[in-house]
Amino acid sequence: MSARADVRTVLALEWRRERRAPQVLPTMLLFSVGAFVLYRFGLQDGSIDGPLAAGVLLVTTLLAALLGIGRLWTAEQDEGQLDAYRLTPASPAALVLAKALALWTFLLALHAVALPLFAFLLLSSAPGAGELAQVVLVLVLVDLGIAAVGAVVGAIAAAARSRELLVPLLGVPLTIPAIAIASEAIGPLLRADPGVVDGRWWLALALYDLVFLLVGWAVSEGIVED
Amino acid sequence: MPDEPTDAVALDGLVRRRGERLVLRDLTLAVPRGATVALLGPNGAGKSTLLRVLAGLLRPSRGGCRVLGHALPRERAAVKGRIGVLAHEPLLLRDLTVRENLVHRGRLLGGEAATPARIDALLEATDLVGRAAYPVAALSRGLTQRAAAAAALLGDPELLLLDEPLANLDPVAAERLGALLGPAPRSRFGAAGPRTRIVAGHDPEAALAESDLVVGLRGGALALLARPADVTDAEIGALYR
Amino acid sequence: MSHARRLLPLTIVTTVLVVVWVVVSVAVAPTDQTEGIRQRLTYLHPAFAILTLASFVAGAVFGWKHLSSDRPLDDLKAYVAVHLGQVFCAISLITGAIWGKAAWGAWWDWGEPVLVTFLIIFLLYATYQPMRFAIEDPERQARTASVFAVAAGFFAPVCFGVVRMTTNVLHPQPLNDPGSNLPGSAGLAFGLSVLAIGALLVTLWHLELVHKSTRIRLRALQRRVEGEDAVPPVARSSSPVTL
Repeated sequence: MSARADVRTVLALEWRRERRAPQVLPTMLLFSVGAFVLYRFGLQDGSIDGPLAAGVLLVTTLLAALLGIGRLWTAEQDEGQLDAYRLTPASPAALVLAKALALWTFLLALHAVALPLFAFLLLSSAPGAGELAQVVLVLVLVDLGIAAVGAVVGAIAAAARSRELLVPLLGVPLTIPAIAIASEAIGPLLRADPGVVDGRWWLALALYDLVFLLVGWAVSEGIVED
Repeated sequence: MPDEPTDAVALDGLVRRRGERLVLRDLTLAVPRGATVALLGPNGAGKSTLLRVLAGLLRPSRGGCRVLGHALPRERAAVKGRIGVLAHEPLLLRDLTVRENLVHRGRLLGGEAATPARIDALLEATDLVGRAAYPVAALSRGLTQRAAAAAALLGDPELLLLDEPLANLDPVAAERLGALLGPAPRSRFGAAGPRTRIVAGHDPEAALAESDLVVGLRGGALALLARPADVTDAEIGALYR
Repeated sequence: MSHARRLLPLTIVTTVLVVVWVVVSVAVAPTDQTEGIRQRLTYLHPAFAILTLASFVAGAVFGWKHLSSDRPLDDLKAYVAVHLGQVFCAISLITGAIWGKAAWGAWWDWGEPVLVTFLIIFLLYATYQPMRFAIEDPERQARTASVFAVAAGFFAPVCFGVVRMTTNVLHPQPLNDPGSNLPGSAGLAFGLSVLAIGALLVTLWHLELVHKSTRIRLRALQRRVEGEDAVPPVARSSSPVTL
């Protein structure tokens, strides 16, 4: 069976499990909404825009993603699914890639709800359609980067006993560049007088995604095989 | 394969460490294809570790280890999908139903394993047809073990590694599952030759009755290697002393 | 073992290089007209920074080798490389801050890409030992640590690129600067600093490797003499326990 079919099989399983016993999505969503409300108070009822808004949105995204990353490999660890997978001919890279894609789609689903809420709760002025499309595109790219890093970080943390402690320790430094680039890209879009996104940020984000997808592919053998 | 080896498992000085500790010490033995091996030994003797090494789930630290004609860990890819494992952990997703688990495993295994006919046949054989739509979490331990057995047999494995397969089962279920996991001729789905089985357990009498070879481990080392007819009670006693 | 045999010649070479480096950078190279004494930090700080990265890259290479070979020695090599990288990273951060205070009057500058990058990398690598310690199974620990070393090894250059892009303040780049407008003896002193500290790194790497592997071998011998079960295994350790 081809690797692509294996990826599809595992990805479908991740979504089926999430539908059957919703854990990751509700947790990430509730956390995000809670954080937005918290910012509302923490910034003393301030409406925000520009770089500050970009930072609030992206950091909240990352922190929510960390919750998802912590759950990503639990079935492999606790329910013997890693052994089960290794007894089949499916390739390690397919499993790691499927995990990254699963987290990516979870984050996209999260943003589908969290982004409007963010605009409603915190943003001082609603962005125009053009700006909104670009913000969404940046989020799609930064989510992919977080997911690629998260698949590896989640696997490392799952091997450890103190899984929940390791995820933020490893995940935060590794994603600083992605958050930094995305913030530079989104910042001007969320200003009251929207600016344009410098082309190099698109390139940098895409490169970051690519590098960490490749890293995940390169170390997949080390993650999956014991 | 041009030169099909006659031994399903051939160990030559196999050593497995866990950190500083030796878990398996210098094991040398050969298991012919189609044979049933009774793997005996007290707790902590290394039975489960040996099964995991043979399954390709743990790599040997030293020594030769050929399974189904392929040297582990180097040629591990070649034996994937050809080995069935039924151990203490059921290797099933608790939130999904029995059928969903089997379908998922079958897709990863590919080939015949994924066909609904194969899955139905196994559900029938494990008497789980009525529970196919139950989530695994809702099954009793005995039923879970049967579902795990169905998953282990899904790929019609040439080598079956069983770690106390009938633990937690009532007598009727044990008999039924025992027959399914037994040394029966390979099903209509495969024609690669008879199935080799290695069965770890604590019940010497039952093990001797159905095996072709008795392997006793003690402290990770080979303490007994004989045909069942030649094994004395004293030797079994010494194993567990 | 060959690493132990290399220790003596390495120590001699390192000693000579360090002495020459100190003499040249303190006595031979002239004091800079405009920058004064602080310019001599050029002969200390950048070398540490360069070798920090070299050390982390070496850790990634050994980690990669370990993933493909599965030899415990490669894991130990990666461990020692990352460990020394951490020490050098801390030294780089401290000397960098001192340089910053001397040159720009501030201990820390968020606009300075190299400083910020080093902080991020330092934070990442600081989790290396806690991560190892949290994984009980030694083989699992070794493989996971190698996955980390490879991923972090890729991360370091990415981080440099990104931070340099996102911080628009254009400070003189210390890595490109040395020797550019300085007399030949200053260039020599800078080159010597990289050589001397590089030799120091290699020697320390050998020393720690030999120390750790000797301890592991000693325990293995003890087990062989006193019996396999007489020596209780190490409960948990963040460094490799087998060879």
